[in-house]
Amino acid sequence: MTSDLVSDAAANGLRGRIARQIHESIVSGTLKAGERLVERKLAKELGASITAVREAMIELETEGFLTKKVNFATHVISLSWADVDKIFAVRRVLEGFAVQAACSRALQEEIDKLAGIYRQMLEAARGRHSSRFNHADIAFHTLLWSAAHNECLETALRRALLPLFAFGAIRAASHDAGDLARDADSHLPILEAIRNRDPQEGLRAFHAGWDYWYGRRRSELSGAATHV
Amino acid sequence: MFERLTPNTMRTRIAQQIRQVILSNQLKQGERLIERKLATALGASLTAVREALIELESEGLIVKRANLGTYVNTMGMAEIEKIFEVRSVLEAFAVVEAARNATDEQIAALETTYLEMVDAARAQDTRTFNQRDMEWHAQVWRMSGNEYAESALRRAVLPYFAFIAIRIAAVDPMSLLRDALGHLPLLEAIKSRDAEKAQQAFASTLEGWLAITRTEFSDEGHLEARA
Repeated sequence: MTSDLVSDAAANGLRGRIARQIHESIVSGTLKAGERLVERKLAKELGASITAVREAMIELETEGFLTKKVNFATHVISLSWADVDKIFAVRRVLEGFAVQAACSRALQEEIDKLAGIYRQMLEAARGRHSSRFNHADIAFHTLLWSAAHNECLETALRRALLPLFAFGAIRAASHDAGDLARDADSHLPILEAIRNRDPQEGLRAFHAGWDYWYGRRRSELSGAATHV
Repeated sequence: MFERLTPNTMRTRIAQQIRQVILSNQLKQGERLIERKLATALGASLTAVREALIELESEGLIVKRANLGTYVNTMGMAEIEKIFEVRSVLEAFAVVEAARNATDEQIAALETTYLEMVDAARAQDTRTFNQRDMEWHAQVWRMSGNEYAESALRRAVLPYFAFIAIRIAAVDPMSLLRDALGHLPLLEAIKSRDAEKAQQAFASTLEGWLAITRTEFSDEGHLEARA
């Protein structure tokens, strides 16, 4: 599943494998938002050369998961209120467009796969399995993006939105089963619209989902009182 | 007084140089990049060149093929149609936000870039024209004040400018001026901070650019082959 998360660049051998491992550590919560990454230490832990670790970190930095303070240390990103607002503003136009495109262009096998992921999301919610839920959530959205059949659009979505999904596991862990079930349900109208090949309904369903997701994220932020 | 030269600034400076060479069409679409040769030409270490190439790969300017090497990306009309689809949504968003959020200094700088673009078009200086054209759009993206939109646009749309660098070198010089002047309605709308007018100006300008690109493409057949 994580291989879907980091871009195509991750296909590049050792660098890609290290990048995926660091990314998975962020998604699973082993690495926390804002945490500092030390090349030497990571190289030791992963049994890789410092050069390979450096290259993987540059890849994740350009993907927006890590951030470098000028000439200084590398940290896992942390999203402020302002960041979340900006990402959601982009999300409204860009993912909304992707949903409409998916309504007209998705292949039957993609629709079937989306339905399967939706069922996984429901099961994860019932089992209160937040990490599994988070992986299914990311899988649902990334598949939706590729079902729009525009690689350029998909690239733009990954670049702008993936940081938003990065800390989901930590986030979802603090919620009860009812919240997770509602999170899962919020995806159903979008799936139905794609099934019915109805772009107008798809956009309406997405906007309803967006309102819900944005509200959730805002309330989590005020709960955490600091960064995500 | 001095900026300390760390491995990171080296990487950024090398990436900047290679980027310029691609965007000014001195490296052609599909051309292979040899890390060792680049290192020698730039007087840099192989490690620094490799790191710079990762940055350019993430920008979509180059592609790495496993065991086959690194190449300048290529772009056909099918890719361009897709890029324009993204621009119609995401750059339109940036334009509206720019009209709302831009500072006076940013607007003045945008106008300066526009005037330099027109000068370059009059002088038929295609290289400068391309640089100013790209800068102009990158400035608008930044003026949106939304760095997530900006970063997505850089990744998704910047490779397009590498493509037009090649196209523009091939077409008649009159079209340079026409392309330059095409930016004016949008500039005026942003200057008047009229978000709605900016959105309309962008939509019709973009449609015009796409129509021209389609015509040139069908007239000239395979642009990649010529480049």
